[in-house]
Amino acid sequence: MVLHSTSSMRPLVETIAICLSVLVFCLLFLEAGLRIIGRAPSNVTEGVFEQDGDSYRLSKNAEKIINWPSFSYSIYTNAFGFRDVKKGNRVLAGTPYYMFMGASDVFANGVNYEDSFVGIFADEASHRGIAVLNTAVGGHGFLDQEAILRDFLTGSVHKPSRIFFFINDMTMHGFDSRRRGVLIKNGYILDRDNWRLAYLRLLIGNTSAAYSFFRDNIRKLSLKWISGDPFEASAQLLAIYAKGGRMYDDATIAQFEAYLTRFEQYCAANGIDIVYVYLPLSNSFYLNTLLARSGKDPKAYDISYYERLMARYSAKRGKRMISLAPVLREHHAKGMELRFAMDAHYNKPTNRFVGEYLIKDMFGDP
Amino acid sequence: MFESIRHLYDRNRTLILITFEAFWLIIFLLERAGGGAGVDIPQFIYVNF
Repeated sequence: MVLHSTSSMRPLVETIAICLSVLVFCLLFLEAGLRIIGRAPSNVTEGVFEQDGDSYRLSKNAEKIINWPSFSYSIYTNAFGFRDVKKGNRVLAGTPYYMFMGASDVFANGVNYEDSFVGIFADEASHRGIAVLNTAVGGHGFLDQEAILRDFLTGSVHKPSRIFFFINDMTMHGFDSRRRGVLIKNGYILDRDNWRLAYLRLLIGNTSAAYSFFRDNIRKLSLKWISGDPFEASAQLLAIYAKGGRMYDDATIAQFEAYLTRFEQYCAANGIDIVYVYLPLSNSFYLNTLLARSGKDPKAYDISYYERLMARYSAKRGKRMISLAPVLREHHAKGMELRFAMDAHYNKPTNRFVGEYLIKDMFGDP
Repeated sequence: MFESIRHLYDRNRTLILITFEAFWLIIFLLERAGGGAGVDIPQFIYVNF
């Protein structure tokens, strides 16, 4: 009996061992083949963030090159820890300069700095003797960016003459929140409470082209067949635009306006002019379509509320506000894709016309 | 040693070939269904929105 069960186990064990051996061989073959044709792991260099207390900011003199077969872009940060066209020092002494503050839309994920609207503006400004610093960081809200500014200005003799303070629907909605509970590992942002598994996946993605292949294709399939729509309206997006949300409450609006007023006073005390720039979320242009598809009532949402709220405040305070909504709407209405296929950041052509719009608005026609 | 490996292969040739072919079939299907162009858009570790 014992011999019978032992002998019946051996073929099963042998079968499993054979299959695993073949799979390992195939995976090694796949790994080598992907690398040979240029499909390297997703992140071939370290991340670009550093710990900033319980939060994070960009690390100084960072370099991240992302290469895919049909797309590549680079991230460089200067010695201040701000995104720039290259690493290294920025000499500002004696040069008037502007600051661009904001989140990942202003940081311009997915495009090189020189192709971002900040980079395009900076290039034009440089011909006019004005330097530009981009302090924007992906995931940052108002309070995070203010902390960056205050830290930068502390002990700084030469201050910016103007700040372009970028506002989008999400940062307005969360104007009083700060990123907390963040852990930085090798430049990557992780949730401090559950970082180990996420970090392990990151490390595997960094080293294995085969893993990246499976991960990316399964992700594309899940978006196609499970989510059904790459422009899916998330609960977060719906909460932002739903009428009667937190930013419809008078007390909350008063807090929001009080925050901006305090920030303006801080800037004024440092001799800095402030220009508000309203940049709507890219998904807001697709929201009505998504709502109709999901059977939700579009009348229960208002995608232009934040623009009106900011315009009203700016008029009340006598502050200049540039709204990028009209030019984006105009291009969207012509059928132009404003964002990346699988990511909500504005793509390269959008960055181009936004940069040109800002140049025209600030400096006039060439 | 080579003899035993060869003997192992001969005994399990069908299983080895099926596993090998199934793996590459899955790779082919994933590649085709995923768009056939590799990772052609950025996938950010941290996306603001």
